[in-house]
Amino acid sequence: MEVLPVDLPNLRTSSSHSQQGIASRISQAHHLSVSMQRGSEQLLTEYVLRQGIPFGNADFNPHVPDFPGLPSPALSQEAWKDLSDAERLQQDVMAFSNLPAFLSAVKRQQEMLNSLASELHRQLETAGMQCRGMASNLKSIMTAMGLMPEPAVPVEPPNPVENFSKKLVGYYVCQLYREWANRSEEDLALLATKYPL
Amino acid sequence: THDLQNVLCSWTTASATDLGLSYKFCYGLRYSSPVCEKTQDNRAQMTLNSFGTTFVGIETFNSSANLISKNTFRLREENISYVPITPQIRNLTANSSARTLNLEWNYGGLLVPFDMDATWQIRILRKDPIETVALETYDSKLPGNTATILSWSWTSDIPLECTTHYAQIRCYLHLEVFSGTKTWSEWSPLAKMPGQDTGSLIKMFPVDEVAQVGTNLTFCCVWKRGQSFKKIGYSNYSAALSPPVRLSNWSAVIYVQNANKSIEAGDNAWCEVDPGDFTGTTTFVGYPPDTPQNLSCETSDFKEITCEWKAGRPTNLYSAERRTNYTLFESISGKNVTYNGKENPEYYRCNFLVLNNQRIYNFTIHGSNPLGQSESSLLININYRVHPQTPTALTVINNSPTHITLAWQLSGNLMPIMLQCLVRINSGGAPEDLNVQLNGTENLTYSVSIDKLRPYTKYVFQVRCSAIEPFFWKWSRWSENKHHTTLEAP
Repeated sequence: MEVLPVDLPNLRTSSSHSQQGIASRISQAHHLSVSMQRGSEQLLTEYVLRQGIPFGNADFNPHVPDFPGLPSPALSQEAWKDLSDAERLQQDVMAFSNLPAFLSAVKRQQEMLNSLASELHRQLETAGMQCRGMASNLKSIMTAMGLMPEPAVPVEPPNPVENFSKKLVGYYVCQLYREWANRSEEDLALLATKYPL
Repeated sequence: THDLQNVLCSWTTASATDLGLSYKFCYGLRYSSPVCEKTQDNRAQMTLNSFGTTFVGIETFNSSANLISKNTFRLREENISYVPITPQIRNLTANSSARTLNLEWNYGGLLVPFDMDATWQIRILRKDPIETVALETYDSKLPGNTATILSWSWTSDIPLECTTHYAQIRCYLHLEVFSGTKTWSEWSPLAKMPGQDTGSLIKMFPVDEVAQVGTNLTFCCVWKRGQSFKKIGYSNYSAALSPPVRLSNWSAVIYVQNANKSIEAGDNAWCEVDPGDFTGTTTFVGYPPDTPQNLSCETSDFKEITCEWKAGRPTNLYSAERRTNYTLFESISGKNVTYNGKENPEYYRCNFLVLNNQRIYNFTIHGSNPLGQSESSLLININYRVHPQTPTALTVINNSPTHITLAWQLSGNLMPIMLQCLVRINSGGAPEDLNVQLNGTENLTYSVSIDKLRPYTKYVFQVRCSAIEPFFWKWSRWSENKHHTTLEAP
């Protein structure tokens, strides 16, 4: 068996080079997640404002259900720590790959229900774009780390008939968006400690 | 009697215990042989005799068949009651969105050879325990000798889904020919319209209602078996809310007085139940369309008539399902055009094609939304409603030190009318206006010669046009400025 000479310094430089590449992607994604955190808060506030009471009431916090392709990111601290980097990234990729479909469904419904709420429509549009950006960032991180992102599973956002149900589903989607923005920020912050710039 | 033919008689016996008693019931006219029958019951049937007296004899026998009493009665028609046959509800249907229960019943009872007035009483019941919520009277005329199907509808104050509703009916026939006492029939059996309060779902009603400002609203909540009702809320109302009224084990209702305008996305009513479940519904509170205002129709080119109007008071109802839909009707041609422009513009506009050989147009703009409709009309002769477009493409031809020809374009075939055009000539001092009359043309081009100009002088020309009197309607806008310097004097 022939042993190929390996030029260690190059290897070290090339692996440190890819390490740097991963680190900068993670940092970039992390910055986006911080911005999405703010954006998701504003979106939820604007959304609630436009739906009328009880949305926005202090005691109004219905349980947010999971949707196929968009589960709740809530995990216990232990369970979250036990996740591997790949699992964390993969869960984030799935969520942010599917969120745009949900957000644009909510936008369509709100354009009918709240035709004058242009700021809300704009924020929903922006959120969808940022999710698409985040998904591609996360995929590029995974690829740089030698991980293979799983193919996105097509999702069918709910399309209720009744207006209160539309409001409620939109509320759930905005909540899930906020939760995933917070979750991705934590995931990327953790990853950034492993891949410092 | 139920049918003016047979009389049902019943009687009581003085003896405390009437076990084993039997009776011999005989009836007949004064000089006719009686008709008798034996019976264990204390009731029997005989033929109605409308004229004269019927003699009735009742013999009572004990269980050993010993005669223990004998009674005779003299019956005239006046002593007999007429009790109509109990009507039967044959169909009970509901129109949930209109909240109406529709009853259909047939009257196949007494078929008499003449028309007869009838009064019906309809009772609506609901709740658990059941109670009457409406008792309505309805008069009708029953045609002689005809089995009749009658119908009647009732509008509920609460959504029909909230709880099961029952209907019952009875009748009173104004039987002039019968001299005995007339009474109400029995109540019909209950006809049932099931509600959604079966304990199998949690939901609120009505769903997505559109209501008028100032009206009273009703919301009910039905919940599942095993859940317990906590509260129903509506928007930011607390004072105007009635305390919830229980309708049944799994249904409660609240009443909202004098509803305010809702937000664009509709105000919500919501219902909380334990353990930790809730549901809701949205209501859109607004106005019916106001009478369209400032309806005005004009043409600029004899190709299209443009009608515009203002909506008047905003309806506060939006989106395709609730906003006001406008249709422009023209009654002479029978044609119509639907408005499909922007929602809630300051001015609505619709274009209507000019029709060959039609000068007079009778327009009606009709607006409708879920709360109602309104319209405005306008009769015009389009010759009197020409509003030319802005003159364009001003050009100077035949240029000389003191004279030019100014040409411009006006779109549209204005052949049918005479135009007047105002040429504003400005050379720095006070502008001078030249009013010229021109025949309307097909080929858009117009021109006028202007003389007495000063050589080598800067001029600014502007033009606007309109139909001449008596057809004047509106001036066009002023054209763009046309800058021109006359030639130097030779």
